[in-house]
Amino acid sequence: MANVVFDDIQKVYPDGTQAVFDLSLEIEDGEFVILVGPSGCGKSTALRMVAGLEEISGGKMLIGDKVVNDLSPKERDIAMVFQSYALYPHMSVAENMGFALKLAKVDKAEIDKRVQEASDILGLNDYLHRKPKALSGGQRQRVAMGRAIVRSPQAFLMDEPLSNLDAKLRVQMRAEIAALQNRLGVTTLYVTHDQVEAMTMGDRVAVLKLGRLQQADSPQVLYDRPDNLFVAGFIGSPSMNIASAKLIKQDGKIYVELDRGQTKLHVPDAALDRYPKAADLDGAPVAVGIRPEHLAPPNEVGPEQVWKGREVGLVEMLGAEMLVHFKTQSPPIVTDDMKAAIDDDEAFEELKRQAAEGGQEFVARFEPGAPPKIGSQIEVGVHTEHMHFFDAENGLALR
Amino acid sequence: MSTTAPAPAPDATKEEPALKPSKDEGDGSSWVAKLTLLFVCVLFTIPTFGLLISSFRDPQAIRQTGWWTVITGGETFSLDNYTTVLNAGMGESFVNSLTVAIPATVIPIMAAAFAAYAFAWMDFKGREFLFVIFVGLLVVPLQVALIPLTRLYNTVGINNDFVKLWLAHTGFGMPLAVYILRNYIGSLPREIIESAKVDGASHFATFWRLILPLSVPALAAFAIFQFLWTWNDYLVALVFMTSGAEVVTVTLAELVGSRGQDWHLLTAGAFISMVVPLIVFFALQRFFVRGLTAGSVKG
Repeated sequence: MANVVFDDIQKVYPDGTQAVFDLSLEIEDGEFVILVGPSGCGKSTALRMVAGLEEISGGKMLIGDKVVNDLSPKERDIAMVFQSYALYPHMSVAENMGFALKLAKVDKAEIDKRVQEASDILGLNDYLHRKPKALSGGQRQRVAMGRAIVRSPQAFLMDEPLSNLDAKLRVQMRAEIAALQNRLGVTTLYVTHDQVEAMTMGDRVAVLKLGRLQQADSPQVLYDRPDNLFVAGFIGSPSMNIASAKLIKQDGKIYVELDRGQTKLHVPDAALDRYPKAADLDGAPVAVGIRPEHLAPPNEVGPEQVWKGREVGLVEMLGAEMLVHFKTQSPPIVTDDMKAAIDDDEAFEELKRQAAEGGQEFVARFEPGAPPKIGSQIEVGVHTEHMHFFDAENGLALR
Repeated sequence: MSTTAPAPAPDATKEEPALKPSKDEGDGSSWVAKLTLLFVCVLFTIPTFGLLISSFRDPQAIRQTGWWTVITGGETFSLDNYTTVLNAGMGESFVNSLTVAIPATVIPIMAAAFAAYAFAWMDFKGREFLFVIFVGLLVVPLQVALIPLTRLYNTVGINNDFVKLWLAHTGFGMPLAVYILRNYIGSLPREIIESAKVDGASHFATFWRLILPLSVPALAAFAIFQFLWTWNDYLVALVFMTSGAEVVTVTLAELVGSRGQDWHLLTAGAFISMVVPLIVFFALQRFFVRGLTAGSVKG
C-alpha cells in the first residue's frame, strides 16, 4: 500500500486538446478518494494516467513516493476495476482472479490460497468454476473486485465500476465496496460521475470540471462549504437552488434581495461568518444558493426570513419527504459553470428558458404532510443563515 | 442474487444476433427471397449432382448420353471409375496434398495473427500506412509473382518442393489473413486488453493468453478459406512441384489425359478430392459466418 500523488499533472492529446490542467492532489496511504465530475471533465483520464494506460504530458505522478511517469502499468503494481469489468470471457472466475498472479509466476498453491481468500470475502465460492458469461451483473462486478484484491496491490483504481448495474444493485454494491475498502485499507482512487456515489463512499471527494480540480475535501465540507458555484450546483440532490440576487445593508443589518428587488430577506451573521466577503458588498449583484432542506415552513424562521406569495408549481411526494417546487422571479445564473454542474443539455435549456422569462423554480424539501395544491400561494421560510454567496462574475465563494 | 440472471454479456465472445432472420412470415418479400434462394441452390447443386451420377456410369454411356437419361432407368452403375482412379496413385497424391495444405494453412495463420495483433493494439510509427500497403497487396494477382518467386528460390537456394509451396501459399494468403484477423482482433474490447496490461501481461502474454483464445472464430474462418484454397490450388503446385511428387489437383489433370479423352475418370477423381474439404468445412463451419461477421460488425 502506498500514497498516490498528482504533482501538477497535465494531459495534452496529440491533436492539441488538453484534458487535464495542473492537477495536484495527494491521496494518502489507505485513503479512499473519489474523482467526480460531469462527463468530459478528465476524471477517467486522470485515473488512467495513474494506471499507466495514458501517457502523462507534464508534471509528476508518484506512487509510494516513486515517480512512475515512465513506468509501464505492470511496473506500477496497481489493480484496476473497469466499468465493463473487463473479465476475460474464456477463463473461469478462479482463473480470472488468479491471472495476474499466474503472470507474475506465483506458486500455484499460493494462487489458489489467495483466490480462495478473496472469494470468501466476496462470497464467490459457488461460482469459481463458472465463466463470466454465466454470472449476473453483480457477480461479475464482484469478480472484478476479486481480481483486484488477490494482487494486494499498492492501490486500487476504479473507473465507474457500478454504472453498468441497475439502481438497486448499485446501492448494495456501493456499500459493499466502501466496506471492503475500509476493511482492506488499500489506497483507492474511484472515478464516478454520480455525485451520490461520490458523497456516500469516499473519505475525500475531488471535484473536477473541464480538466481542472475545483475542490477536494470531505463530502460534508463539499456540501456545506462549496468553493464555487460549480461545486455548489453539482454536489447535492436535489441540487442547490441558485439565483442572482443583491445584498444590501439597511439599519446595520444585511438583507438579500430576491425576485429582482420585490422580496427582501434578512441574512443573519451566521451566514456572513462563513462568507465574510459578502458582508462588504452593498448593492452589488451576487449569486445566492440555498439548499432545498434549508427552505422550511414559515413558522420555523424569523419574520424577516419568510418568502411570501410563492406559487406552487409541482409537488413530489417521496414518502420520507416532500419536494415542493415553487415559482420565483429570481433569474437563474446561466453560465458555463452552471451548464457543467447540471450536466444535462435538456435541463440546461429549460433553465435558459426560465431565465428568459425572468424567473425559475426553486425546490424545497419539506416534512411529508398535506401537500399544497398546485397553483396555490404558499409562504416559504428561508433559513438564510445557511445561505451561500458567490461572486456573480467568476462564481467563487465570497470568502 | 440469482445465478441465472440474463445480464448482457460485456465480453468478446458473445453471440451476435446481427444475422437473425426477420420474422415477417406474412410479408410477400420474404417468400420471394426464399424462392430465389431455393432456385440458386438448385442451380448450383445440379452440376455436382450430375457429376456424382456420371462417376458411377459406364465410360461408353457417358460419352453417348447425358447423366439425366438415367432417370428412365435400364442403366447399370459400377465403381469402376473409382477403382481406376484410386489405382492411379491418388492415394499418394492425397498425402502430398495434405503435406502441402496443412502447413500452408497453419503458417500464415500464425504469422498473420501476430501481425494483426500488432496492427490492432501496438502503437508504432507508420502503423496505418503499413496496414494499407499490406491489404493493398490483395489486388496483386499471384500469377505475376510466379517467375520472380522461382528466381528467388534459386538465388536463396530453396530446393525442397514442399517448402517452396508452403512459403508461396503463406505469402499469397497473408494479405487476406491479416485483413480479416486485424478487423476481428481490433474489435475485441479495449478494456480487456488494458486490464491484461494492468495485470502485468506483456504483449506476448496478452496475445497468447487472451487474443488467440478469443479469436478462434476468426482464425477458424480464415483456416477454412486458406485450406480450401491450398487444397484446390493447381497453378502454384504445377509451377513449384518439380520432383515426381504430385498433389491431388495435378494428378486429376493428368488422369483426364492431354486431350481430355479420359474425363469419365475426372468425375470419380473430383468426388474423391472433395472429401477432405468437405470434412474441413463441416468441422469448422459453425465458426464460419460468425468469424466473418464478427470481424466487420462491431459487437
